[in-house]
Amino acid sequence: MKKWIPTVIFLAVAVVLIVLAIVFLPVSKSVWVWIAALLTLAIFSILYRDNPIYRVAEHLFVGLALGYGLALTWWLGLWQIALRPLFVQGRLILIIPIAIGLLYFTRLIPKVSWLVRIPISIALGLGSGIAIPLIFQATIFEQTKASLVLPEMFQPGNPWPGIWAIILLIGILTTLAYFFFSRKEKSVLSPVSKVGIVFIMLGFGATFGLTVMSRVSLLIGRVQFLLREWLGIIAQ
Amino acid sequence: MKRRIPLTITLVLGIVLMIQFFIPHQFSQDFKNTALEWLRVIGSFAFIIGLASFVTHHATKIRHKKEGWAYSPIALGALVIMAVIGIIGRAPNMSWLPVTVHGQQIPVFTYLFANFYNYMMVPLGATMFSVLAFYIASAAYRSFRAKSLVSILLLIAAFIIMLSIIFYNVLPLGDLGEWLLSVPNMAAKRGILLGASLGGIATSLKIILGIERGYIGGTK
Amino acid sequence: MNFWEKLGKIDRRIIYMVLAVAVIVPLILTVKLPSKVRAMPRTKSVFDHIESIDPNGQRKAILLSVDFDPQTEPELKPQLEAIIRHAFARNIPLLVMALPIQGTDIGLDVLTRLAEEHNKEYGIDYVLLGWKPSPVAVVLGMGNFIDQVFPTDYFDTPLSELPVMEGIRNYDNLGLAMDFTGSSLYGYWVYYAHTPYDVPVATGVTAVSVADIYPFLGSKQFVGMLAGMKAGAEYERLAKDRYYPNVVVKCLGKDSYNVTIEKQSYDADSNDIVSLARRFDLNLDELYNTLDSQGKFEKTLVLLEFLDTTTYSRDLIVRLKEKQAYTITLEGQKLTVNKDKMLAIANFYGVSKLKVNKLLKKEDNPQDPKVTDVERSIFLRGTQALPALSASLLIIILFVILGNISYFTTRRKK
Repeated sequence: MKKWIPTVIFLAVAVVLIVLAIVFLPVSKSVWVWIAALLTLAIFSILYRDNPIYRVAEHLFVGLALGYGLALTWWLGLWQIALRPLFVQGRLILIIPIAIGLLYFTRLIPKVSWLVRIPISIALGLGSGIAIPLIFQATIFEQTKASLVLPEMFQPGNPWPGIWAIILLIGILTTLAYFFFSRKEKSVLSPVSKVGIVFIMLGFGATFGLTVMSRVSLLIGRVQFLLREWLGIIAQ
Repeated sequence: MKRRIPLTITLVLGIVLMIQFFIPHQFSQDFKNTALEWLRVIGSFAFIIGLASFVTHHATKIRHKKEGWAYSPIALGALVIMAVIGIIGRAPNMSWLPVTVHGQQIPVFTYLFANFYNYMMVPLGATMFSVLAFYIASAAYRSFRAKSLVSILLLIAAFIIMLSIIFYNVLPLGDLGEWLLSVPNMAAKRGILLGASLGGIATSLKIILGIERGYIGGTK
Repeated sequence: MNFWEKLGKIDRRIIYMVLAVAVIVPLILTVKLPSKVRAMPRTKSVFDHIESIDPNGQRKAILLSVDFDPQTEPELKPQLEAIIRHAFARNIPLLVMALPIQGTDIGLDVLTRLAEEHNKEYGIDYVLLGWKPSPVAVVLGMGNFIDQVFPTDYFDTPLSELPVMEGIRNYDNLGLAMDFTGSSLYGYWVYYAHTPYDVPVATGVTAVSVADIYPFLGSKQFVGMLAGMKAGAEYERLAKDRYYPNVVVKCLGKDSYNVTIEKQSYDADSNDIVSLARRFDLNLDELYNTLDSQGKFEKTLVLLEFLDTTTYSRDLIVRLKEKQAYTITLEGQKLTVNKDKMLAIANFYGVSKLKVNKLLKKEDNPQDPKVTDVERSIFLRGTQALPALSASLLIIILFVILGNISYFTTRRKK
């Protein structure tokens, strides 16, 4: 009996606040903005407790997103680069990739569903073959090149870039040492790996601090929408 | 046979494209460009897999009345409605049933599609991510414990970064944050990048050579 | 230590409430920052690079890839807008595309809005290329020929029919390729655009990816990086200071003016006005016509803006003439409007609705017609959010400290 009392109080307060808002604030008169605001609040309701309103909104989102993707993939993908060039512009050579693409549909037919592996393997083979030399150059070569400590970095009046470059190099080598040479069985890590951990922790700490800023920014964006477009409290 | 064909395709294409990188002859470039164009055409069918999984998952849920099955019709209904509105509404030279909006005539399906996107999809998606901020705040309070030297280091680094964002105009702090990112953080991330790239390249080679067979379902 | 024990077990919904308050209050109070937003070096390098692009040279265009979806919009949209404004200010042709399919509508929305403000025309100054499947094939394919990947634009017009695409065939004609992403799609641009084709690449990312991108910044594979919402604010500030100064000219009498630039005011004669107009690229003819029409001896505030009307500062002066009639001075033009029209204009220019309502209440007392309100709207959306960001980060730091204190004191008790 008592379990639903907090929920009722919460809803009552919410209704009162909304009525007050409508009376005293220049709230938006557009139906669509109200729909958007109510859906936003529906998702926020998960913070109080998992509830049916949230689940409805969640399923609605998933369905809409897929439908959106489907519609645009049809027009911008299938029609513009596959079907129209073939049927309207007469580029018959495209029959081959279209036929291969149609094999994706065989996933729905259990008897021949192994055929779906063909387009997958083509995409993977092409993708991997193209990627390997490029990623090798972009990461291994370029990053190693950038880690070199050069004499030019030590200018007479300003040795700091060179000093930081040395520390950078130490950090890179010890980080690699930590990942490649630390064994799980050993409880005592070598000193080199220990230095590596220091660098890694500083790096992860930086990532963590930035992640907090990122998530909070997303929240601020939503609140800005509610306060600006819906309630009209802050300026456009 | 059913395994051999895909594996052979991957092997041949992978090796050919790797070699192609080193051949500047025009034929090799034309081959690559054609391969890329075909990849785009094939790729435009790829969404079928995701769509099929989604529909079968929810259809099964409804059929067997699994937990939470009442919500599945909503998902499926939204999918159908949005897809239909989108396919009709975004057709070229579409002009069915114009509605007057802000003094302009817009076909009703286009109008609906745009508004379903802007006022339903966008708020729903954006809010889902913004809820994470609350979870981070709760985790910050309940879970981030400075129990060992390494976790203290991590928290110090995080504090420095966060303070340098808040007080960016207080010169020492802002520059300290920048130093933290460009020296120790860059060192660690570069080490991780080098290691991960080597691992990624190794995995790609394993896929091409057929050692890694997860993508065809089941290993051997 | 009962207090700390209780504090440690506090219901998480109270934590949520505190954070919500920390976000809402600074936004409502529209706290102004005590000082200008200072740009970090990684943001400034992008700005400097775009400054160095010659819109008439060989590498003349900028390609923007909207690689994010609405989930990460609050962090990345301000960045996108700031970059587009900068490009429009420099008359650099813009090509906009998307790798994930949801990016197209985001790009369309931003472009349409900004193009209208800056008087840019579709097909002549910018183009929305749209989306094509298979990201690797798209990024690599554009190195060969852009119109092979995008035979038509988003609106199904063949690229060959668009004047903006003249002289732009592939990456060799791009001064910069920039992507905005909340995931790791920035990697595609380094690996498949910069590495094989040497096109300068920059990226705008959510703060989550920032630390991971530093290796690429250090190796100069990225020209620069915009890091999160704050970088959007930094870039807005950089572009505004350079291209959209706020200039107000007041006519004080025959050949005597008072000029205010960015809140610094000084007296001027017509020669000063001319050199001022040249320095800030103001349209001289328009300036003279406007001043002429005001009558040389009337004390009226005349508002001049950079030729491409922008939303960086819209000054709207409303003078109550008599009941239900208002005189609006807007960008040097005087209009007499009724209440509804005034509301519409105020809304269009983003004057705060609360202040407009306050203004309307005064119409009951028309005896005192004077300048009732001058609004300077803050359109720097990124900058608007910074106080709330600072407050919430401080709260979270506090949470960590409090949580740790509570944990260690209760542990010591045991």
